[in-house]
Amino acid sequence: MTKLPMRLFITTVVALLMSCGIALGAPLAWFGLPLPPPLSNPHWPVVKIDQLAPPAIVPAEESSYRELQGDRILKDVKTIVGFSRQDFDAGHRAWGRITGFPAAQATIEWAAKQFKQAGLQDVQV
Amino acid sequence: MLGNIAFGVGSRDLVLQSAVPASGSMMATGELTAELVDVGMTTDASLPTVEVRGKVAVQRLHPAAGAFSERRKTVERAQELTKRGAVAIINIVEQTGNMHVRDFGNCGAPCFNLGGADGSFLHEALSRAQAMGRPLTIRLQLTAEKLSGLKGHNAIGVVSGKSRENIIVNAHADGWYDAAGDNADGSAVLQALARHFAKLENKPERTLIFVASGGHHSTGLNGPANFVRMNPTLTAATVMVLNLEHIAQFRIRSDTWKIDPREQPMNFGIDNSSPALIAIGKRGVERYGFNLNPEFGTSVAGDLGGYAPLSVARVQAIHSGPMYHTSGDVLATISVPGLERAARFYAYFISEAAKTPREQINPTR
Repeated sequence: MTKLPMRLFITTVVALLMSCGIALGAPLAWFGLPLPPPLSNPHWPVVKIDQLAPPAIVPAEESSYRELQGDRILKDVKTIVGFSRQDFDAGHRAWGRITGFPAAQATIEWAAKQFKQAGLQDVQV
Repeated sequence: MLGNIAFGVGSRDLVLQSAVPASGSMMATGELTAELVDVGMTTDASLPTVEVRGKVAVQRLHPAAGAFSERRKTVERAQELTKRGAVAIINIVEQTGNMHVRDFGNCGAPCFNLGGADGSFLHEALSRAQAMGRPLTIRLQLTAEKLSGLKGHNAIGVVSGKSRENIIVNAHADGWYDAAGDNADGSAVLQALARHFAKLENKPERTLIFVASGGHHSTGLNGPANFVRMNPTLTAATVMVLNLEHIAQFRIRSDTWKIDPREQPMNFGIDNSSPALIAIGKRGVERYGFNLNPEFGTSVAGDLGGYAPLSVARVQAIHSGPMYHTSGDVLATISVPGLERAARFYAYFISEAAKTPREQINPTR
């Protein structure tokens, strides 16, 4: 590279840096602090979950109680959390199963339906 | 936060996405712009002698458990700052991630909570601006309205026992955000117990009334209180109320933000200290390894408050961990074996309590 093109190259780089607000010696935006991230994914844990709890203790005489097994109950937890997520997906910024609003109503109606399917009597909402 | 070239080239306005207004916050004009002022930690012995009049006061809290554990200090301090002329309060909740935190209320002035990452940034920027002798300014926007005429509901189902006397088994169905641990876990275990006792072979001695309640998070729409008010005939024969609330979340360490390979240890409360119920609880812990703190107490916070007028034994295991009332209360924080431990413990507890004489369940009444 000859002297003239080299000077042109350096001038161009400095001009580009200045146009990006990164002039040599100038402070970076917001004191150079890393900018805050967006809201953490509200359906994903913010804590590290890399361990399992020991299995439940099941007395021999209770081994037939499948309705009390963790995996079966988890299905219902997912369904119930799902009502909140539908509320989130509907665009509500303060979402959840908030009493007085549709997601809570849907949860209660689902609960009543489960009671009926289980064979409970006098099921009412 | 309003950008200023004095803070560095390219310091543009920033939106802090985790911000959540605390309950009772209203802004007549919907917007205010003011200088921020750091007023320290909520655990500081006293407020600093800085001028807060006309400013947005920023206080920090570092909860050992959930933000709720700092409620009293945070709100009292916010009210004092309001008295001193602060136009708004920002509570930085020093937790992991950048979560919404739905807690606190009635600060006096409009009050906002910030998640950990937003809060850390704001605090550091405020320190640097202060060191430069430059004000850091924020624009707060809030659209809020008070709603009336809303309706809440409970779902009720009955398993007839051999006796007309009944035990109420309750879990609140409502919750903020995904609300997996508050209280999808308790609500799901309620369904498991309903299925269990509905089977002929598991028919209980006493009648069981299952209540998926509208909960206690919406002012004026307390599910249990309305259930009691609307069902005097049913509740006249109630001998005990059992509540399922926050019963299967992993133990989350707020120092490392990791879980332990077990569920959170829960406080077991029996409000009338019935020796017979305490004995059943102890046997249940031994039988199933349900993670209760060894000393049982009498506190029955949460949904059981609405059942107080019944003047019968009220029982629950409960713990509110760091994700309580935050957008971090998600499905993955629930222990599947913990769900089963809770369900088996409570099935046992209900079966045993259902055949315990009334005068032993309510010995002083």
